[in-house]
Amino acid sequence: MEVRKSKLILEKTLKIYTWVIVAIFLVMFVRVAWLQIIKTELYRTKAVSNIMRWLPETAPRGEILDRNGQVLATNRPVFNLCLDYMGMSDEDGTSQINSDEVVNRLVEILDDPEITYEQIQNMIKSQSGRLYEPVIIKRDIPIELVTVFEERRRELPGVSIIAQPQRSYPHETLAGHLLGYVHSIKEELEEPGFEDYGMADLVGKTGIEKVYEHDLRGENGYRQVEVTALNRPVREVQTIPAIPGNDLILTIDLELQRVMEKSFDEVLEKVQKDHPKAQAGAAVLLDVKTGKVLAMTSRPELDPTDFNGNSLSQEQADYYFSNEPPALRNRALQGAYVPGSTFKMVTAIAALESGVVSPDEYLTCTGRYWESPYIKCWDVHGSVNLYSALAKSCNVYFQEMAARSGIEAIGRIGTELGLGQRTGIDLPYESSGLLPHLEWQEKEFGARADRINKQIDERIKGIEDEYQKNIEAAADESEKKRLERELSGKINVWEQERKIQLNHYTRWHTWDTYNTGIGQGYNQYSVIQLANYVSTIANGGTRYKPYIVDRIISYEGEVLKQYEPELVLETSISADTIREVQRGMQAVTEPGGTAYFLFSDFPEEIKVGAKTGTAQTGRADYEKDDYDGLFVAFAPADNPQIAFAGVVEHGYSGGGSAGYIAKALMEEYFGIGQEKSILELSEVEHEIVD
Amino acid sequence: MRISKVLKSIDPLLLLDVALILVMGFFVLASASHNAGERFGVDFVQRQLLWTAVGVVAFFLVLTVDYSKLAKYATHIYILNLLLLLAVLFLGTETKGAQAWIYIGPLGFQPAEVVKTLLIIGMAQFLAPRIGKLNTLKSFIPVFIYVGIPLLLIMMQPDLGTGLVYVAIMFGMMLAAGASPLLLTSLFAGGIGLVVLAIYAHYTWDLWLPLKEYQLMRLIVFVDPMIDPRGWGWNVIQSQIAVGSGGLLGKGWMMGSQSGGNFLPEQWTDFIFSVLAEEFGFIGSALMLLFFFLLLYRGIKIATKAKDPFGSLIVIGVISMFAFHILQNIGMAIGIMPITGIPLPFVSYGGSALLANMIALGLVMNVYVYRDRILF
Repeated sequence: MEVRKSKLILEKTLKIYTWVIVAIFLVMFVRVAWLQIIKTELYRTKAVSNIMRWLPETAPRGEILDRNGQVLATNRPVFNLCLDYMGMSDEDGTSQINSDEVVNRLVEILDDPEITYEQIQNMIKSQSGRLYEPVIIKRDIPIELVTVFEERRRELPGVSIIAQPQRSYPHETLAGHLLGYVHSIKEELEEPGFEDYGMADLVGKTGIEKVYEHDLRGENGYRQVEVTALNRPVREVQTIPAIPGNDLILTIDLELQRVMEKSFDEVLEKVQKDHPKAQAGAAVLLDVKTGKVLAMTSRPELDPTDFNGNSLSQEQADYYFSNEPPALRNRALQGAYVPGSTFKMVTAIAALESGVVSPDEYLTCTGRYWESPYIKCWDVHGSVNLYSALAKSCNVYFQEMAARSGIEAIGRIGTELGLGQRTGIDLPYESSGLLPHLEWQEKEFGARADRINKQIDERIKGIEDEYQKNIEAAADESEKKRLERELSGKINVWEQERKIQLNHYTRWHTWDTYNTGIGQGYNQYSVIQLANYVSTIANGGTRYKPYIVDRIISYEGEVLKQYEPELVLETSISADTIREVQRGMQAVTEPGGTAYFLFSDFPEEIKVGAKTGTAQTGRADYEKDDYDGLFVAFAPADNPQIAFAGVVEHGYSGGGSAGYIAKALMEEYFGIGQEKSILELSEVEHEIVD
Repeated sequence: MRISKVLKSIDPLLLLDVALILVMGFFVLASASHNAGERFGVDFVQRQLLWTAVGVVAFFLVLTVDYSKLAKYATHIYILNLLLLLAVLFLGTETKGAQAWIYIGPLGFQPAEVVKTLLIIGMAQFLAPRIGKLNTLKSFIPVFIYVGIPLLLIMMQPDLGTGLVYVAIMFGMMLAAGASPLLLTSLFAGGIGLVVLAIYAHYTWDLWLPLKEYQLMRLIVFVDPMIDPRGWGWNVIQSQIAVGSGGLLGKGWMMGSQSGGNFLPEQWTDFIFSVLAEEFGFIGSALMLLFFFLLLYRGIKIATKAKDPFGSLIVIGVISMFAFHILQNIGMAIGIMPITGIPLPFVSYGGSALLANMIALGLVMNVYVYRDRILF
């Protein structure tokens, strides 16, 4: 009875029970159908992106070689420590290894004061938009660390070691400035031409590395790899091989470069004995028949390896950026130097071309120019003509020549010789220098006049406003009158001031011409400009564009581009004038010339044309007896092949500083034996401040 | 009773259905474990086959004795249940947080699997005289106390999964015993509400909860996996990717990229359904759902045919247990249930569970075999 009743109840409840089960299964069925039939495309995509990785394969950067095939920049394989943020989950995805823990372990293993927890978090953050790319934590880790990381891989999910080619410069600082360096890409990402670059890429930042970035880079390859949840590759799906960058053959001659740098360092050491501020400078050696740069250097030296994508230490950062003089600048191009007496050939040419003097006309130097402001000569030269004036660097003679030819002619000749304008060399950040020709004057003086007028107008306006108030508040008519008189008196004073200032600052004065004629005053040129100007004189008046890359060849050896000498201007200077000036420059290295002491032991057949220079820079860090030493030269004088320009900041005298570098280069170029170090050479009496 | 007679009177449909589930399970397990097998140095399929054999033997052993003889031992069974749970608390070895094992010599065994069946038998006897009398909240109280004591012991381990199974069995059997569905539903809804409130209070006011942090995390990521996409949410997301990317026809046996690439955690137990769904597609998952539904449906039919309420309630207890396991395991894989490590009956890898399930199935079959009083 009881059982029967229970059975009836059970029959009823089991029906309800069945419906509950049916409902549960319906829910599951519908959900499965939703996932597998309606949403399947979405989840397929997710499944594929789960397992497919595109691993970039960095293309080896093209090599940079000297004209004889000597390697200046190449690549070596290094191990970079990377963090794959997306892969920072652990073994089976259930018990999480915290990504913070991974970073902490990394810091602990690396044990590098430059790499802290915060720094890594910052690296990750700064790449937040592109986290699918590995974040490079440290480049070029030693092989011992590679082993450690491989051993502890299981506790460091997401950490990987990627072997990559890294830029290397076998000759260290040699030609460092002109080669330039590579560093992490930053603002370039926004520029056209960099669309296919990634956050982890390095790009050329200065020098040849920058200008020829797109030739050197090559094309990165890719490996499409199927991976597991732990980012372990299972199989390679497809590979697009990397195409190595193109090689550059430079016009530079490694041996000449080496001699230039070695002699430069010796000169600095030597000069520093008397002039400790002498630490910077630059020099350029050109092939006069083509414009090829044979050697170029800048001091203080730069080691491209210091950059190379790594962060600089504080010491290095100071050395390159904030110390005085900062080492980063390529002073051969970026510096603008007062040329001093090395400018005198321009004055000479202007005078000869204007027909205001003949080479044989003699003037008398009494130690001081006879026109106001009677600018001094560095010596009393007595009777001088063009040749001896150049040889002895007579300031009186060239002031007179400047006065006779006028600034217009000097400006015209200077412009023809390429001064005050960028040479157009294939290197970045070239300075244009300053040649005070008429157009420059017009622009400069116009701007100055505006500035002076504005300043004085403001002053007057201020005074007027002040008085206006007082006049309005004046108690009576006589007080008002008195104030008005006072006001017009003050305005008058300022109008006078305006006249004086305009007269002084916005006009070309005769003494400006005299100063320009001897290479002082407004003149400022880069070393490459000076070299090119001397080169133009040396080759008979043809101005070429200096260039540093001779040809580009593919990694397979095919010549992709051959650069030819580029004629910029066939100057209007007559052959006679060129010949006379060349002769005058040759006199500089002959007995009685300011550079005779340098080349007196040169063999008869190698005659050198040169010019020494000492520049008063007027810059803040130069005291009364601080001068830049400049030197320009070409050789052989009878059939010129090479031209040199060099400057040693605080070098005091041109011959006694940069002159030695020119000498060492010529000895190397012409194979003249000279074993002695510059430091061993004695010359005190040659410290000529011309 | 003679074996031949027993064999003649079993339900072949139910047997066939479970056999199909088992076979399908072997294939899925083979795929799910072919990576992990190497890692652990264990042949999962071979072991599972072995345990199946043991299970089959146990199944038939269970059939030899009429279940109704168990009724008078119900109290003993209940006490055995409590003793086992106490043993686990004091002698058990903890692995993976909660799954408690007892080792007798070298033999490891998970009491959690057995205690479910023990509870069902005890509970059936406890509820049988109460059929039709569970109309008030007051009448529920003895039942709650009866289940509450072992449940408390389980939660002390703490084994949230088995605890939930207990609750599910209790609700299922109470429903069958004629407890007011309205009352049950409101209790159920109230319970869920309380849990939500408790979790909220835990995170807002630091309310103490008898759950470990990881258990809470599993409950929460189910609502929004993106709370922790690389942690607990990972499982939820990866499992749904596996199921969804399977599409209609699946990627083919052993061809699943999600399972092959180890994107699915514990894919041979907790997430085995995801492997099935990925490799055999909607066809495969629907078929598996159908087989499971048939299992439950046949079970309910057997419950209606039992010779006494005790038998019916045993069957409903087992069916409720299976139903909850299925809902929880598959539901977790398809993102409609929170994550708890509950295996899929007859499919997930695991000896104790398989054996316990075979015994439970044996009980159901036993009720069927001895359905007719007159026959014996």
